[in-house]
Amino acid sequence: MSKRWFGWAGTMLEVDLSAKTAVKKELPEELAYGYLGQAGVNARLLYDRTARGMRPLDPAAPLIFGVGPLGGTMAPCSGRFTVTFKSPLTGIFGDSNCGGHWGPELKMAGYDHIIITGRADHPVYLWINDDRVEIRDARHLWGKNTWETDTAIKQEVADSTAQVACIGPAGENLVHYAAIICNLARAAARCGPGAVMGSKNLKAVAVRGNRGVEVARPGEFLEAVEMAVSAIRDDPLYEVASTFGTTAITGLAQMLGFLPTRNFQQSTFEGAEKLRGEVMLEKYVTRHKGCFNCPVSCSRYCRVNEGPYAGTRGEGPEYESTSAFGSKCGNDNLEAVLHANMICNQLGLDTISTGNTIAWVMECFEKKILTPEQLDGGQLQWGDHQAMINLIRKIAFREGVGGLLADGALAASRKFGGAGLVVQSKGMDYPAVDVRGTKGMALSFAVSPRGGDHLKGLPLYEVAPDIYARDIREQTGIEVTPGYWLQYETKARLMCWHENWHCVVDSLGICKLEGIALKPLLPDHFRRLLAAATGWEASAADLEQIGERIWNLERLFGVREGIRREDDLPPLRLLNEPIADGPARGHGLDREKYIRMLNEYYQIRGWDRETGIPAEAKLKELGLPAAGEEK
Amino acid sequence: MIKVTVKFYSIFCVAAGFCREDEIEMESGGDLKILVDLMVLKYGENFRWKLLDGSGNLPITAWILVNGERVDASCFGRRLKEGDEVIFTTPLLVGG
Repeated sequence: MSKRWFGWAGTMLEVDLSAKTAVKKELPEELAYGYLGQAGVNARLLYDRTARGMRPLDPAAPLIFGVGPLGGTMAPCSGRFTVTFKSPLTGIFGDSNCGGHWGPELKMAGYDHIIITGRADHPVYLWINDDRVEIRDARHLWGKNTWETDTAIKQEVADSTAQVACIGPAGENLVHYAAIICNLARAAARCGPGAVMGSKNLKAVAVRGNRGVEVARPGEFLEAVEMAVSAIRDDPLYEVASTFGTTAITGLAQMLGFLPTRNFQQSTFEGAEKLRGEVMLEKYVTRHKGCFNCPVSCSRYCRVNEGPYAGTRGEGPEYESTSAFGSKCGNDNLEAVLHANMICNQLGLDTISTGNTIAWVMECFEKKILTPEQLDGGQLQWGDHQAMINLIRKIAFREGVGGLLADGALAASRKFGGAGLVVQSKGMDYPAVDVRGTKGMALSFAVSPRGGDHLKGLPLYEVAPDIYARDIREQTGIEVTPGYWLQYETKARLMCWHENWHCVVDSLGICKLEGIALKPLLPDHFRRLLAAATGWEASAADLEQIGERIWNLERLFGVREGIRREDDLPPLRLLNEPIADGPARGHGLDREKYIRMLNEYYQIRGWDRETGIPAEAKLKELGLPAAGEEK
Repeated sequence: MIKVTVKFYSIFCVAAGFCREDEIEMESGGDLKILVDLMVLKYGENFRWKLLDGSGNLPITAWILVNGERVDASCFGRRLKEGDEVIFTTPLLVGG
């Protein structure tokens, strides 16, 4: 008799598109209790099923969707899912976390994970309606954008409440930073999962679930939920988050001097005033929007009614996208930013990598590394938003120079030159924070197992030390002072704590955007929610060790592909040049101090100081395979 | 009389009716407290409740910067001079 599961659905769905089979299997207990769910279980499944050197777009390469044990429950902000794969952009571990309503729907259909391998002999989509799983013909959908696809599939399955995660032309054309889009605008985008989906001829995964999610101790669970919701609502920054979402950051980043501008050449932008979240809210926001079961509702619908971009509409953009198509490209036209964001959602592109790639092209053009001939006879000047938007389309369809840029700026630099101008780590483009002023973030972005990234470690405590001084002390034992972000000391310890706990959060299925997790929601909230939902009494220490296990496993994936200590350095521009302008002018990364911080990080992590490889003793302690041990 | 530039960010911008920047004329020798009172007079009680707690102190969600330097309520007696820039903002968030 199979185990009765609470919180978890207890079932994985294995789909082989080559063999046209879909098989349900029970979730192994050792995976659930060893890796929690969602990102953690996904990571273990990927590690075990990917041979070293396997090409990311090989039919045998797995594409894994997962939801956590709290996903789809009444726990606040439990609308997330994670897609995990070997990244076509970086060639190492890739995963991407997404909000909206798709993840909860998968859980309610009765599944924790879908593992997809193989390649269909023609375009297909997967239709999961509770127990019933169909691989359906999608030839008529190939070529459609994500909005058209979403509408068409809902009509075909005759259910407007079905949730559709799909790719657009960028995924079909194997753009290495193509996204999977659900709810028209929620994106699993970083590292390029859309290309992996496209390589399998898989246009969409549509889901409808009617089974609900069973929790072990409903009364106690509701108490834990109320406690968590109160913590979120009582958070000092709740009003900011629910009013602006991430867009409040634009003005603040400019004010403090860390707004990446013109491909990180400057850290303030003379046009930032026009891009501020306050302007967006006043002129373009039509209503606020929340993901599944979210008391914050940080997202916003925007509409442009006049001018050349009239008709632009939809959810977003976030701060990251605003900077990607705004300051990073020297563009102060907010309507163009809104339009770029919309077409990236429709075409299925990661806005961060797309914006960074275009910003890199603009700098190469400025420095005459790229000629008009190489740009198909065009020009790409800073702030030329029409050219920027044209290039987005060319990338998605791999037209002309877009075909080279579709493999990423680092890959394009191998043909054109300008590699030193690509602001990346491990092949992934940097988000919109100039980390030269925030030393912990500099470390966190550089050591992330999926490459240049703000979300894996997300060191919230570093940037708001006075608000969270007590939490920081209680959770980590670190005493903070004003201006904490500028110091190197204690940052290795702080980052390890953040990384471990964010692995837990991403595996439980809770949102951490807007700092839901590890700001108002702390380890004790997660422990209580998990215990009441699943009936499993894991301590906070148990959970933190699971987080550490997941972090080390993701590192091991990279190590297996050749990642070493030298890959844990910030991009050359950020490491070698101080900030050139604005209030943070002169702040830079001191190489010696950074190296000391990295050494301390390795020591805390139990990784070899010379190579950055997790030591055997640490792996044994965590129950992980030895580095280099092939599966 | 002196002129002071005032900038509003985040929820203070909303409380000020989406005003992002204003030029305020005040008596020479006027201090930060007088400027705050003028702001409350101009933008209403909602602005006050965002900026000050019941004891008249700055809550942790309210930052005031004078010429780029963050000050607390103990600095309300600080005299302002012609051309000063005063920013009302919340602390930073991070996210995607």
